Amino acid sequence: MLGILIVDDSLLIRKQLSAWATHSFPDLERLVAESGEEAVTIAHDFKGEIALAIVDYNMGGINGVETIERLGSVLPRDRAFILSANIQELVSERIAKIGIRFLGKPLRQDDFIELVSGMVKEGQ
Amino acid sequence: MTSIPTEVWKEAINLAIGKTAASLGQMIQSEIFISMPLVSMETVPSEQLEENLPPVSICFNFLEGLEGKLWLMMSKEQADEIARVCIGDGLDDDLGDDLDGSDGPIDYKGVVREFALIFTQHFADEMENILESAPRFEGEGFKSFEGPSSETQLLCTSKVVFDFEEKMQNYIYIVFEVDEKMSFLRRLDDYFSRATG
Repeated sequence: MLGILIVDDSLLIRKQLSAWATHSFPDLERLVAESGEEAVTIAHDFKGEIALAIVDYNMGGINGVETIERLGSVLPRDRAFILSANIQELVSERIAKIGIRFLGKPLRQDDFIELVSGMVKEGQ
Repeated sequence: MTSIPTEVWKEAINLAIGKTAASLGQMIQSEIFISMPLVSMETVPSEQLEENLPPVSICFNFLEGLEGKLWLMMSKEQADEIARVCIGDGLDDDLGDDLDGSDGPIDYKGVVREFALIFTQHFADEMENILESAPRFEGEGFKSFEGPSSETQLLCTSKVVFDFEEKMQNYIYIVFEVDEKMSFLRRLDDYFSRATG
């Protein structure tokens, strides 16, 4: 079983990405968390394989990068994406340097579908 | 107050702040540190709006599509930091004097006003996306925050740390006084339904 992990403290973003995933990838298990800490618990409890994680950077508690680091063995870094409204080039470059890809908000539905399609193919 | 409009407001502010930081960061070739915005949305009289709001206050009047007033408020130190970073180092003049009305060699006020304008334009862009119509706004310039004039108004408040060297811990306050409360809340609700439907 393949899953997508969505982590954002914004209810709007969680609902939006989850709805897009439901609509375009009904076979994908949706793992949704509102904090990094919750994401780590959910991901470790998940029995399947996480195809990709989309993780907000600026959250209460641990930030997105630390969340991805704590996901460790259950989520290889090349399947993790930081999603942030902080779209400064220096920020995205800093995140890229540690091997995590960066997505700027707002994420368009077409881009989301293309991204998830690619990652699901890789995971199969 | 339901949480749905607040969630939409929070994300709109988040995006506008992120874009402002990107615009400014590109200009000064340096990273700007921004905190997670703290937001609230409440009808007046406001209980959460702090009594000691920062003294440097810039107002934009929103006229069409979204009626109300947008206020950016910050400490003099914060305004000074914004002006210095944008203009460059090595300036000895005190922004506080300039803001108090005296003439100085550097147009600090102009720089701070430009910063506020950049944010307000990004804010208007986000609101256009949410409301599906472009709001029109005009600057009223520096003026003291008067507080809501009517109990039918809604106060959407955000505060965020906007810092250049991780040393400034003052919040910039962003307060939007909405004239048509029910209409505004309904439109935020509608956006949430569209975005997540």
